[in-house]
Amino acid sequence: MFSRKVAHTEVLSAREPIFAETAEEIAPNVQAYLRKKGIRLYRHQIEARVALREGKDVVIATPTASGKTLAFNVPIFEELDREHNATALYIYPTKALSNDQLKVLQELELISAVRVNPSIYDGDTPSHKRPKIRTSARIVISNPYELHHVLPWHYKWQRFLANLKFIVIDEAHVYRGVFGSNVALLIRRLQRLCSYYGSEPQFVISTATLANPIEFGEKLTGRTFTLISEDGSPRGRKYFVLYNPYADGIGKRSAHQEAKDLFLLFIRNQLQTLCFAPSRKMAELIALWAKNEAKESTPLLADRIAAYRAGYLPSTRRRIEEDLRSGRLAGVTSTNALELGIDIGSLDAVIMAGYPGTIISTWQQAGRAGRGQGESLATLVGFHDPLDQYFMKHPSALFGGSHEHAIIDLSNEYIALGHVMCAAAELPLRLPRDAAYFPVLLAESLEELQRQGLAKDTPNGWVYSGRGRATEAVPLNALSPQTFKVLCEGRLLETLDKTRAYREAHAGAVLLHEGETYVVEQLDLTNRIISVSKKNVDYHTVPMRTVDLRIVKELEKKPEGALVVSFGIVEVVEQYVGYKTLRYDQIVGIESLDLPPLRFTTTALWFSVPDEAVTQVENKGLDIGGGLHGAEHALIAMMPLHVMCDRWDIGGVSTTCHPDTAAPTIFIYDGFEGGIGLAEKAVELIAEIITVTRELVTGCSCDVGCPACIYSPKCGNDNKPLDKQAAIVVLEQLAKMVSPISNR
Amino acid sequence: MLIEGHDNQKLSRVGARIKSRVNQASDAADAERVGSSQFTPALFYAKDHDDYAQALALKRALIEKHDGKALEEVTPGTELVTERGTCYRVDTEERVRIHTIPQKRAEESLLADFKLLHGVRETTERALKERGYRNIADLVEHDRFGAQALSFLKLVETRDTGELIEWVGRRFPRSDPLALHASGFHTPDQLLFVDLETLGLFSSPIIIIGVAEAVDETLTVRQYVSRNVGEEPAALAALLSHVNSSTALVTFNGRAFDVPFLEQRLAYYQIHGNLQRAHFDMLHFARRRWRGLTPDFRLASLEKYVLGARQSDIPSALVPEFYETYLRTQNAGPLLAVIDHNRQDLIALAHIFSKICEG
Repeated sequence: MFSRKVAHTEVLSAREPIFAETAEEIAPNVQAYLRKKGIRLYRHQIEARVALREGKDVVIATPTASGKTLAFNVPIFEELDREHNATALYIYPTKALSNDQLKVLQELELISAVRVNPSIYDGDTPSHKRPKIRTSARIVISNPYELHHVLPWHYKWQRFLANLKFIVIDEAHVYRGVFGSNVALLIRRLQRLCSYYGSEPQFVISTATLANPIEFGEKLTGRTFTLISEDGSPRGRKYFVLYNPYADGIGKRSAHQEAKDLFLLFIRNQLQTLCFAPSRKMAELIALWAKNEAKESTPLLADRIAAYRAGYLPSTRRRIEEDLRSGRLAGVTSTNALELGIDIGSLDAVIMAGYPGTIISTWQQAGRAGRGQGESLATLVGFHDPLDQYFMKHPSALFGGSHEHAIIDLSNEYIALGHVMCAAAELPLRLPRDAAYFPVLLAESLEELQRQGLAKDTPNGWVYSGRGRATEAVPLNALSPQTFKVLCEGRLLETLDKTRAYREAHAGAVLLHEGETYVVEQLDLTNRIISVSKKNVDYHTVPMRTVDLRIVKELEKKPEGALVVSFGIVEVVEQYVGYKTLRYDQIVGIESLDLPPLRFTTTALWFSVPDEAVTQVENKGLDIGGGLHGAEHALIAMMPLHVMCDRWDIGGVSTTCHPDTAAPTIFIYDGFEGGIGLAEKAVELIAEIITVTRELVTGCSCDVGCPACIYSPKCGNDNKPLDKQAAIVVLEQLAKMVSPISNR
Repeated sequence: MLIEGHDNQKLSRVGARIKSRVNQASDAADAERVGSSQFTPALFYAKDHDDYAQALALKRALIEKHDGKALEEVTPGTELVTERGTCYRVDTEERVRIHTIPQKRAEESLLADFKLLHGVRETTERALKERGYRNIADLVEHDRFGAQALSFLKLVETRDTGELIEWVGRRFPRSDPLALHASGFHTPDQLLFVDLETLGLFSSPIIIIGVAEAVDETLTVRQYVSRNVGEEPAALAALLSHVNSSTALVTFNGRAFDVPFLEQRLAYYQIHGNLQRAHFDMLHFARRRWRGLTPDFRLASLEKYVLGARQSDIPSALVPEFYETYLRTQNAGPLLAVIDHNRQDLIALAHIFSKICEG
């Protein structure tokens, strides 16, 4: 029943561990820890230790579960043992990861008896504990958001900063695109303060496999890195299965149902399984369906299934993690919340319900399976979307393909200006001295800040002169809008952000929480309260929405050859118009909704596609809608390397006739409220972007499209409609227009 | 190719956006404090139309009156030259008699309360008194409390007011009058009344550092004014010249605001100075003293209740706006209003201190 849907099985061979001996004896205290835990260091761990002892900055890019943490903890503890005032800063992207790392460090401290007083300093740290941490902790664990707000208080951290020997940036691949560029400049601010207090810490970057780890490290920190990527840890054989529910071209059941079937099949066969789902709701649904089905045959098993996602109370999450480690839970469905290195032990099998969107994530998630040298299983369940289907049919794109580049841009004016302002509020900036930290745009940013009355050139250097707190005006990541409370009989169930509330918690919606179904009675937009009641229902709901884009103001019109590219402010209007009620995959009802639209204002570039292209497409019997859509996707795919961002930082809309332009139009916009300069920069480079995009799509050897050309991992319309040939016609025409020859 | 001037245009767009975000952040911070009652934010005044309109009318009048005049012409003062540059000093004097708690009474009160010792509550205190211990000094030989009693006694004998305040603060609420009794160990001239006018709530420039010292029946007010942001370090250096080993600070909400703010600014300019010392924050004592009698515990409200309303004044929340107008126009009028506001705050602070000490 299952086997004919297996599109491909890749066998990743087992490997014996590779150990290495240390030239220099490991410090006795740390040695004691390793002995007690029965650990012998692998080659890559030894290499990391050697490089760090030589004072080098190290980027560790070995796979999940290869012992990256130990690779840096050992040499750091040795140094902190040798040097009694030395301190280290560990930066994690989430609070959950910080908590995990704290436990590891506490154990290391306890057994090795190296006193480092590891402490978390983040938004959850109570204020009465903070002074003690600042004055006594030798290892501080924090996150970029907290760090951003802590830096202006540097004088209270004098002891810590003056003695700072190491900065560890774990899960660093998260810091790419706009977020990464912000973090890179945050790190520069930190380095400037360290230098002021007389320290020059070494960097350890730990990351998932990337196409460009060394370059990435340099961009993130301004330092030169030694790469440790030759994994010495043992590995059992892993079967990586591509499973295609649509192998017969039809697919009788949805991919979600199929994922649930596999999930049950695995756990019934005593494989402890983690199933990654694309959304919170799917994670809940797959768990719920699996539980219900198991109840009928093996009730005991039903109790050993759970869902895991953001939005649960931390204590609930800790319990599920612990139950996974201990084996009490046989199967857990999860969002990508478990993709990063939360310690849940290793599992026998992983299911990915749908392509996770990047090759990086795919390998991170697959890496969760594999216990010691035992065999393990990873399964990617292909969705109906052309992108997933492409991977099903072209496994080499997954197994032979390159990992993504992690891109950081230090020359984005929007980002640079903000961090220069924050730096000026931390310590007066001096030129040219501080150009070491802000090699681009420093002088220009300061001049502009002075024009805005936000900085002043004084005899003491450039001084921040704004009213508000500088850091408050500089978000590191897309702002998360207001939160809504979900209340069940007055009890707080969880909180949702605004978009999620509209999408998942409109009146009538079925909200799933820890495997229970709740029906939303009221979504109170004024007080931001969602009232739900607990009801056992056997259906779920799927919202229906429309997305429109409206031009608010055209700021610039730039002729590029014969093409006119516009840049301006747009509003993306998302309207939830109704919802469908589904029992499993069957639609059993449709209801309408009366919700105000969600509005998102950003900056965009847009241009109209000439009639000539439309006529050509139509004459060839191709689909213009699919052509515009395909061209839009391909242009977005080419943007990151040109405007230096992540693909997920930008969005697009294409339409055969836009009301504001009265023509077939392609829009590309920044995924950040107010815009962050991406579309703006693309306007300058539009000729180049169009030219390479045309080359890419026409040169792509696929038939109807593939992830390398017109398939997008983040398309809101499941990559439909797409027409590669039509896209080629559109791009050919655009390329002709922007080429200099067309001017004559 | 790039269009000529395009980059400048882009930067100015980016600049304008960040400016609006900074202002938004500042307004949001103000709005947050509406509920927390200590300050009165601009937003509050936006609602309280009369006050706001009045303040703006005042600003217009001042601008008109002082059109084309520099600060030096309209308010007598001296340009102070320090190692860290210049600032402008405005000196005034006020007839104020500062009452302090008599030393003897201060000492008696501090030693009388056994609950200052760790492990002593009402019942133990009663038991100790029944056994004939009259005060903490009597307890120095006591098996259980002797060591603590001795330490405390030493603080009292050496008049270590900074440590005494901390000691009381650990055992009792910050508002306990006992902490204020430590001020009795200072002569009035050792008290330094401090009040700041700043551009923002944290990590932004100081406009005025105002200090006041009492000698006999005269309160000498010295205000160090930054005529531009570059003059801030000189004002900070000038403040430090008022602080010596026996100085005690008197502020209104200075524990939470003025002192951390000053420390941040000192560190910002790499100026060494220690403000961790005896510090009487009158907000805490005033809260206890006048609880329920005033609508809130802003200095201005208290002053209105305790001392009567001011003649003319601008709301604290509008200080940044007035200063920015001064910077932009170089018209001394709005700055004058800020200087006057700061001076009145200092005088009110001295009165409130005196009133509470008087009992």
